[in-house]
Amino acid sequence: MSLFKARDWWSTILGDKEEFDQGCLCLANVDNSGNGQGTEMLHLAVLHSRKLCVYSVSGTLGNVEHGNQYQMKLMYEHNLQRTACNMTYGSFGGIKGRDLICIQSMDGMLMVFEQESYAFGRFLPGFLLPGPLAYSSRTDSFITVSSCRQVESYKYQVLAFATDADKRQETEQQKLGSGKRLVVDWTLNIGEQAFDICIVSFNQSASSVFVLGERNFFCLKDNGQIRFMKKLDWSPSCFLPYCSVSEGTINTLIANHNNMLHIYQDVTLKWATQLPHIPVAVRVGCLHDLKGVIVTLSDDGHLQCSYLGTDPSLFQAPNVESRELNYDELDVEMKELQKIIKDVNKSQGVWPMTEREDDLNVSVVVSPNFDSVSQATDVEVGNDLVPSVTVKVTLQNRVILQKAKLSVYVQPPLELTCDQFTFEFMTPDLTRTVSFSVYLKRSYTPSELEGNAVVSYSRPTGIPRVIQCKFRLPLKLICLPGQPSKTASHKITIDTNKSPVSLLSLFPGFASQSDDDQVNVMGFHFLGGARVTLLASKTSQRYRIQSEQFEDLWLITNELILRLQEYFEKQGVKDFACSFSGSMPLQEYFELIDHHFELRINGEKLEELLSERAVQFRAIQRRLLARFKDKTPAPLQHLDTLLDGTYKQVIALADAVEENQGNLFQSFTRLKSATHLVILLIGLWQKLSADQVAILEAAFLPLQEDTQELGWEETVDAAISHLLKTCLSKSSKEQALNLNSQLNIPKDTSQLKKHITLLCDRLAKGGRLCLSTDAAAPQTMVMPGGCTTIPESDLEERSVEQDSTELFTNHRHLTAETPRPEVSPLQGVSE
Amino acid sequence: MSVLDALWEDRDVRFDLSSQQMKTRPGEVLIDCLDSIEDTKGNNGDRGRLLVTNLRILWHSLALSRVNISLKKKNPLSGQTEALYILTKCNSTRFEFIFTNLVPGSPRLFTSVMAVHRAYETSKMYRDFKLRSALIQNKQLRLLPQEHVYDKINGVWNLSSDQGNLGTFFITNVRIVWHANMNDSFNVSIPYLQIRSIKIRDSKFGLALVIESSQQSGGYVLGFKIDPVEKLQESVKEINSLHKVYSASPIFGVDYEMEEKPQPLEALTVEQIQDDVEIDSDDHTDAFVAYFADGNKQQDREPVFSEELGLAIEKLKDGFTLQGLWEVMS
Repeated sequence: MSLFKARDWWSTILGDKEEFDQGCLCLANVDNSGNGQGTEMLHLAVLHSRKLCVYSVSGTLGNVEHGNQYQMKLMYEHNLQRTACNMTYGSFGGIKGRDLICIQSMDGMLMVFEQESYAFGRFLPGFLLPGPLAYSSRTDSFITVSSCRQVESYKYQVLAFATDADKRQETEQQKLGSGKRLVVDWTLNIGEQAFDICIVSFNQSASSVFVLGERNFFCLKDNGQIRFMKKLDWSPSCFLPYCSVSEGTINTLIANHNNMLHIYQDVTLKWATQLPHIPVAVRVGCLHDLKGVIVTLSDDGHLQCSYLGTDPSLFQAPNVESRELNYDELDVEMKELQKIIKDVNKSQGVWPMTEREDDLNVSVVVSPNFDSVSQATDVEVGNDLVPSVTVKVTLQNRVILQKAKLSVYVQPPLELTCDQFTFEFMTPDLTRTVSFSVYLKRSYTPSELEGNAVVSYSRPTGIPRVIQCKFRLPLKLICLPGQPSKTASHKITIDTNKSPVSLLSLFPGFASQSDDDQVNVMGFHFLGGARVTLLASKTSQRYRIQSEQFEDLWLITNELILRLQEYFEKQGVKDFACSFSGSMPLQEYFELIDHHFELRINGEKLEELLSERAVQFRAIQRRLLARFKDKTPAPLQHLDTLLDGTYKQVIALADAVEENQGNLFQSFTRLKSATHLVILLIGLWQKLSADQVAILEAAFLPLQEDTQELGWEETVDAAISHLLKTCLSKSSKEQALNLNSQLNIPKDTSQLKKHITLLCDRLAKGGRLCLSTDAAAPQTMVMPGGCTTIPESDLEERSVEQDSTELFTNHRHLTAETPRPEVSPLQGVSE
Repeated sequence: MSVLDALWEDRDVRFDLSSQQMKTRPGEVLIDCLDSIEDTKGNNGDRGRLLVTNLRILWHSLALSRVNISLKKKNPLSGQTEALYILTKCNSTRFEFIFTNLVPGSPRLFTSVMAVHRAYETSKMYRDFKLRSALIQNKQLRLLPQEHVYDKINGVWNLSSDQGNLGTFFITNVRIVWHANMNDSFNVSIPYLQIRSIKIRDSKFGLALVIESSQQSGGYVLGFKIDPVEKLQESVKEINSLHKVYSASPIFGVDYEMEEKPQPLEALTVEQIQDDVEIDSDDHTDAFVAYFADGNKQQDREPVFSEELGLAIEKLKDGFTLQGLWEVMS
């Protein structure tokens, strides 16, 4: 709050129970008194809601002391067909010596009047609500802020030649012939509604478009580029760019709802003064030979002419509460509060974590046997009989809980007979059990056999809580014993540090033959067809897993390692470890990535085609409709055949999209399996700790499902790039984080592959994964490009790979108090 | 023959009033009474009572006219206090008053003050002498809400110019209106409130009705000629008696209905105890100093144009620069 006040020079109260707004104040030598410049006489145009009146105002000296007499003479008036919102005037189309008037109606029509005659009316495209309207004589265009929250500029010439709004009702053929569609010259998204627009040009300098938004104040060039913007800390009510005191800068008055009037030179606050009211309109004028008088009008009709006071007012009303304090009472309250804080600190935090387990107990039991009658329905697995297994979830509460929700998730294509349950625990110590069956629905393998049961509930105090319980499904559910095969295209070998274990004891249910000499070879046959062979070396401590499909290796490898760990744990051996020493099977992995990516691209293409065909279909429909509506119908000219053909194409494309989606889904599952395997192998290969493996998993498996908009490739590439730039960086130079604000589907997968290879290289050279910030060197953070890419001129093309220092300078330029003066590189507008 | 005491209640800011001055004058009505109000600016810490009439606001022993009222919300650190902030201008001196309700969260704040002020502002026609305003519509007087026309006299000459101007008189319960027949906008509205005297005097046009307006309205002397003389005398008699009736119970035009009627003002004002000893206090003269709107200056320096801001500013004191002042403040 400023200590300066606006001094009342002259003021009055207008109207009787009337309300005023920004269009209600106009300051001009309307009676053309004194030595009026030029021959053009000023007239007064008054916009009523359904009428435009133009008056000439003249003054005559009155009799004796009765003062001067003024007369308003109506020159002409227009009755408006539409309710008017606001108006602007100017020499539209470069017409010499007179002004035209443009009125914007409430329903978005710009009506142009040429003195006594109505010239034309045009509807603004995409109109919803009227915004402020201004005319720029320099570009001969109208500038408004639309309901799309963007500044829009329409050339007068384009308006004049566009389709006449009055003919809009007429038939389509005529519409196509009679004029062009109204096209916007330029737009600029400002993301907020605007109060007012002013276009000014002082001292022959380039003209500027000023826009007062609800929270920001913008200065634009003629072509819609931002010259500067200023974020306002208060809610503005009106503004006026009024002069230029030093070359290249413009002074602006901005009034706000705190009764303050701020004076800016470009974006620098030069002065602030307190007004006696909230102005809805502000003007600056020369009155009675005093230049620079500020004229403000409030919504209830207080009109004040003021000048800026330069004596600070230091009085401030003391606060009532602070003057009547009861210190004893405050002391007691303070002590109480401190005691509470102390107690809380003693009991380790506000929400004791131990309590949580007591509220509700969740346990999951997977039945050891298959259901006697398989619950599997609608399976698409082939000829194999699909078994199902029952999973039982038991919930036990200690306190009353309402609407506890249990959700169960298993990896597709595993399917649940039911995955949502709701419980009411009306009394404490209840036990609820639910059962459901799991089965394989489609003919490929899931990426994990682990399932997840999540219970969400609210504690009686209203704090929401979640309990999670994981369970493992038996391998048997998706896999049968099979014939081992000696040859396979994909093999991996796992080393251990303990003597080999009989496969029969590891996989008791999978021995295809009962004879003991075969226990070092075991075959697995997945439901759906894939076959995997597991070989245990008789002499060394190695196991080999081989298969025709790379991704099929994952489940068996994982199962093998888990079972080995379990086995040795039972034996009491603690230092059991696996390792992997072969080369990383990245090539195989990359093939899967490419396949997945190809399907994504394919999906995109199909959708594009589908949308094209749909547009075509609608276009044909419209034409047909036009013909059928016609009283004397023209021949169809095979439009019906075309419609039919297009329809068939649309249906075929929709089918193709659907099919592609199915394939993509399957491909993603396979990709997930392969990714799991790669992570496992990297972990074994470099002997990474569980924490580091968790980081890898987070980087490589960020999505449960991928979509066209946000897919696996770009997400993983972003995560890996981040790892490469932080903990795996070779030098601090690489550490400047260049966050891209948007993840887009990449052009190809070469970048991703390069990054994955680089990740493996760095890990092989001893790089370790760590995300805590203090471990890594201080990082330079560059904000996402969205806030900085406001180009200074057309010449500056901005790429994502921008030097960080350059971004900084531009950023500073936007927020700095004094932007460098424009040496008008864009004098000639509209190149 | 001055029938009315000059009306000061709504024109002047006065301090340390006598009990006589505290009383309502005829036509003045008490509208609202607010307790536990502190005069934050002048009597910080004292509780008092704020009285709202159709003409003025009184606090304790303090009365002030309504010239400019604005209510604004302050946001102190703890909780919200509503304060009534009044800026007044009286003979080119600005006074500022801040009244605070000492009961936090009081439901009835200063809404009545705002509403009455609005009613006061919009009813100036009842009280102000007006030259050349929009009085006449289609040759008929635009009546105020409580106004009744008692008489309409045609052929009244206004004697302001050399040749005189033929016009029409409207005599109502509130005022006298004259307008030229040739030009509606050439008119005058004289409320009885602003009439200092009504006489018949001789002029160069013969006997004429002379109305002298009060000093505060500009002290106009207006001459009207009505023919024949009998008619003139009859009119003067009528105007005089209406003036008397008006003086007994003036209509100020400030209409405001409170849902609950407050007690009469006399019952609310504290009787001042008549001390035996007359204390001749020097304080009396500077009671108003505390209320100056602008610290300790009574008048602004002249406005000049500032090249630096491109706006009119109050001329700076010698040795001061705008830049320097602004930097100190911000």
